[in-house]
Amino acid sequence: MLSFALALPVLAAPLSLIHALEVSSPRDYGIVMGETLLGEIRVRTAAGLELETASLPQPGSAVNDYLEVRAIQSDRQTLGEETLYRITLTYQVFKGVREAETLAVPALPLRFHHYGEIVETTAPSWNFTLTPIIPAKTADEAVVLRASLPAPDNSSASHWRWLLAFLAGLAGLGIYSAWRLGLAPFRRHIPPFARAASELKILVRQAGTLANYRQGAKLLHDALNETAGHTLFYGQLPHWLETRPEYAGSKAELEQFFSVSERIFFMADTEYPADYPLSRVENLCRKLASAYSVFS
Amino acid sequence: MLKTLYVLSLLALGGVVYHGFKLYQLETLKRTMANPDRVTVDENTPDILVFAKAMRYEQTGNTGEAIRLYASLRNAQDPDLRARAFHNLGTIYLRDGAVHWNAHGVLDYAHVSSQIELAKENYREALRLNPDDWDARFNLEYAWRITPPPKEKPKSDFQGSKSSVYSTLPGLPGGGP
Repeated sequence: MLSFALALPVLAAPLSLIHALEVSSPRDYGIVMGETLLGEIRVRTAAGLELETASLPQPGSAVNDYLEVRAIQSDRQTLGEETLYRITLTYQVFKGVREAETLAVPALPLRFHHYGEIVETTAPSWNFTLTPIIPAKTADEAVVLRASLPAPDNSSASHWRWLLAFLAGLAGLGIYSAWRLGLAPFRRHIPPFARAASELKILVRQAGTLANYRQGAKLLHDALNETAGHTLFYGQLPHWLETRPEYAGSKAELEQFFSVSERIFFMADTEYPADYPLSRVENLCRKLASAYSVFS
Repeated sequence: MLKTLYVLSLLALGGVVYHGFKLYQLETLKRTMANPDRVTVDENTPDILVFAKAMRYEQTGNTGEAIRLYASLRNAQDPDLRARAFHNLGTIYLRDGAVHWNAHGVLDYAHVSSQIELAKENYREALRLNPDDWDARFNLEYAWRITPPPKEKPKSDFQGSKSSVYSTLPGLPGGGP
């Protein structure tokens, strides 16, 4: 670590205003061609001094034949009655050497403003060691030039990552939607009479039309057919009730339903059956559903 | 809830379409770059294809066209591509300068000197853009090594050797001209 501590201000700055000036570099050795090197200047001043940043070298400016300023940063910190200025300069070296050489970073003038007056001081010059990349003993003719660079690799990795992430999100949303809507493979098994009952409930709320009634009756027929495993006709009802005794308690209701059903589906000039409204079909359906759940 | 699902699904679908299209574009670009002979350069040609074409010219010995195309990339948007173009320009100039230096030495002073200076300037620019370009560092140092000394008026007692680091003058027979 290079470090100089100056007890005295260098130029015209009065001793009372510039309290200390220090230059340091994290690495000042083993620098090679094209490399950047850092120099940090720390100035402790009396309160009230303002650094004139415009007087500092600008990035891209050449310092001398072999040094260019790549970046410059400055900040200030108040420490009680003092102000600490920290100026970090990044230089880039453009010099080829055959053997290690000690080179100098020139002194840097610094300007401050103090209540309308200009106070000047100078950060001292400091040295660094430039080392060759090509071994010194290698003859020029023996040096093999490095080849041209290929085109940059336009990596598709990030696009692949995003694509996979979006696909995973889409799949997740699909699975969640299927689960929410009870679609395959999350279809919940709802017993036929329970399913018909819930749909009948909706129909009962609607207008009491014949078409509506036919739709409701069909729902119960479908549930009966599904439970029986075949299309269940009126004539087959006694035999079916013998094989499924759990529904025997609804025998009279079922017979009445089948009778009304025959009337509304097969007879001409039929009207809405006021003697057996859709609400009774729904009640019958619920009774069968509860019998199903008790015995299954 | 359903609305949220719908919006999220649309967003995800949009992402899939966008990145799928980008991947398709990249794949098409890679296929074209693999056959730069088929590329016809005009003002609408993507910079990366211009680079690939320049590289092909360089590999086939058409350095004039390679220089022209690399030079057209000096203002490319992509700093990495720009740095590579400067690097390759430097390499073309340096290779030529080195060949002449090793073959003729100071007898070809004007040509060697101009080629080396051009190489150095391009390598410097490449390194300004990418200070970690180790190959540019290496070649630039070599360019410094073979930089001919400032031309002097030939002396009558020239002995074919100098005390400087540039004492090796390939191509000069021992004992002077």
